[in-house]
Amino acid sequence: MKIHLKKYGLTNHKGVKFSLIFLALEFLLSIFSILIRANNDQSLHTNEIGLPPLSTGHNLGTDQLGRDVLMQLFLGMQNTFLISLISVSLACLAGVFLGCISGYYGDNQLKIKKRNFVSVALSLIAIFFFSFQFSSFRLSWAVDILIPILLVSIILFFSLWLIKKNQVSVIPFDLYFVRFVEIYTTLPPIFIIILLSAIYRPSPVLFVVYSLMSLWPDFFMISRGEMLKHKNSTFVDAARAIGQRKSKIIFHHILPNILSPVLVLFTFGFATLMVVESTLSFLGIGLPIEYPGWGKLIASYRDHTDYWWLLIFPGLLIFANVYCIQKVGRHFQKL
Amino acid sequence: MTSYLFKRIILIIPGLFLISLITFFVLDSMISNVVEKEISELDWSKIKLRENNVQDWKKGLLRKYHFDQPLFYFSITTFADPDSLFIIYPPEKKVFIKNIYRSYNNRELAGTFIHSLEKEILRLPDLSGIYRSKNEEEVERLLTRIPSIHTKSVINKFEMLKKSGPNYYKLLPKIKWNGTNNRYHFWLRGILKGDLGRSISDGLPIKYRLFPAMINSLVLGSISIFLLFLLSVPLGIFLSYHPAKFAWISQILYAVNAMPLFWIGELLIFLLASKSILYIFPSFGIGEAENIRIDHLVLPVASLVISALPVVAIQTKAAFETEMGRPYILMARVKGLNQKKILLKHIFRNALNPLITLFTSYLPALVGGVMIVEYVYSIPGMGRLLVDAISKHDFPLILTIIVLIGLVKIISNIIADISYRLADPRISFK
Repeated sequence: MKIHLKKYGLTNHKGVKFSLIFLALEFLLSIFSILIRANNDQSLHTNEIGLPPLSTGHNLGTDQLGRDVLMQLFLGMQNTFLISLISVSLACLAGVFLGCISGYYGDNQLKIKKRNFVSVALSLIAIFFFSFQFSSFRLSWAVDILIPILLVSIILFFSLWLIKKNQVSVIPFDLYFVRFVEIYTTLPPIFIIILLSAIYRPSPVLFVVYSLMSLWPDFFMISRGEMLKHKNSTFVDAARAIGQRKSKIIFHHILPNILSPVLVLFTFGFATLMVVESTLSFLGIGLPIEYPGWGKLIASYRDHTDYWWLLIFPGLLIFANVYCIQKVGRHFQKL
Repeated sequence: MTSYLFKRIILIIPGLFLISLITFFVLDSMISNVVEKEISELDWSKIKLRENNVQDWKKGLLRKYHFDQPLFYFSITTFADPDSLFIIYPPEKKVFIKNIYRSYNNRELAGTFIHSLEKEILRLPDLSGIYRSKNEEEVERLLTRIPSIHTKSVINKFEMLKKSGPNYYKLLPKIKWNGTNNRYHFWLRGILKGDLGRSISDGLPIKYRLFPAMINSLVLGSISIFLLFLLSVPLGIFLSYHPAKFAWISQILYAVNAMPLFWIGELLIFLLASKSILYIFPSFGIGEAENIRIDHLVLPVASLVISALPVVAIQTKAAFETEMGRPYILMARVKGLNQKKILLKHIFRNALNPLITLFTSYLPALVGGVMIVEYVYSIPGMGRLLVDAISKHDFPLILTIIVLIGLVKIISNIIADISYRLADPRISFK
């Protein structure tokens, strides 16, 4: 996809252009920081504890364990910046995919024969039950594999045979989905974060999971709304008339038209996640100790209040990032 | 209106039930952590305890938290499982026994094998690694590793067990009714009687920890929300009247919006409450025992207001700007009404909706506490209590706080709906 500078109005916005360049540079740097991760200097230097900025060899000073602050900021970039980017991208993919499907099929498009629905549901329940009974403690082919398969197929065929033929029922797919999302969003995101961090050990995967769980409904709702707006337009009718597949109509014809509000949400979600990540690291329930992060540097300022550079530099970096991302987002919003 | 209100209030109950159910099931997995922790503390203090006593003590501990009862009113098991699997602790032993019963056809032999194995493990504690074994070869290897007369009989029983065929009953599902003797029922009954249970970390009744924290959060939250709307709504209105002239104020608001709350809090401490620049305000706590002092509240309230001000002001500005462009405002101007009357009578009421949304979204913080600010300024409020409870795996306390937050969230949603209607009678309840 070509980037048309003029189309996105970037030619005469210095602030937005600067922000984009800053973010792109940071993205490249954080990719680069993965490559040099192997030989980073995490070792403790007892003779270099708490050096102020502009000391020899340490331009931004050292922290309470003698580690270089510049290096910590640099390594924190890949955690705060890259993990937030990955999480928001995953949430965007999941939400937009579900939203497009839910919006396109609506309440009266998805037709399923009743007997197919019932038999598939019953056999799914059976498979779910048997998968819990499977144990490798003493594997016997008959009990663990053959008989369950036999039972599932009997259930499948019996339910197909019992229920009347050709009873087509329309499933209000969209309604179910929207109701589910409404109930789901009554739980505040902090609730999900607290529950998960109460049970599991902090890890990058856990952070991705809870940001995914708290962000996808927004993407779902916005892409569903846009889909509803576009699905009755003439170009969709034309595509349908020439016999295009539904997947191609949804993802090839309509999706490019709904991307701009999604992009706005993406940028704001990204900014929010960077703040959330550093806040959680600050509180000590974010990423584990072996992942340096900007929030952690500020947390170490709490114990060593003389080292002001541990507060100022990471905070400024978070501020600059969030400001640039929000600037880009506001710009897209105006278009 | 009243019937709608009544319906909404009735609907609170299933919502709360759902929240308590989800939290209860999810947090239940924390019990092994709690019991392990208490056992390890016990082992440090009374090392000389005999293994038999430790077993009794563990049983007592499980009874104390009602973990010798099933989780819920019914449980889904199979016909192969033993009846009282839920009593068994630790979890890996539960899995092991379940595996034995499900793999072999002979229930009596399985029972005697497990009984003799338990006796043997009391004699040789090293053998308890057997519960973690994944298949029968591993069990056999671990049993034959320590040769003694007693293990031989266990091995014999295992050999006999191995001769029995596979257990077909494990494919038959069975829904077992546990009656009211279960953990969830016990907790629910306590709540309905007004007994919130006891905190695990210090054994005090939960209400003694909850109410002081709630008062602190309530004071902090209400002052902050009051000041926030007092400052930001006039600012937003002012900016919407002069959008071009004071664009720089909007730019500053956008910049402040990009600062994380915890950084604002730490910066205020750095600037106003530490030796590095100025030392005016105290940087932690909320005053001496039970007395809330105003100078302690200045910095927390300031950081909350600063961080939330841009959002409210920008939203107000946007809402007022869109309303100002509407034809009825032009009409009012043409009629010759003065600015004040247009603002108060015409625009304000129509632009109120986003403000109501924002206001009600801040309400749960009154009870739930503002975790970040309470952490930064070490205020013993609800947010801090929750963080502490999580780090100490204090299961009953977490459950109570979360259900409470859920309740306030649902109530604030109802308040929002009613206020939308009061602000704009065109909105109808259906």
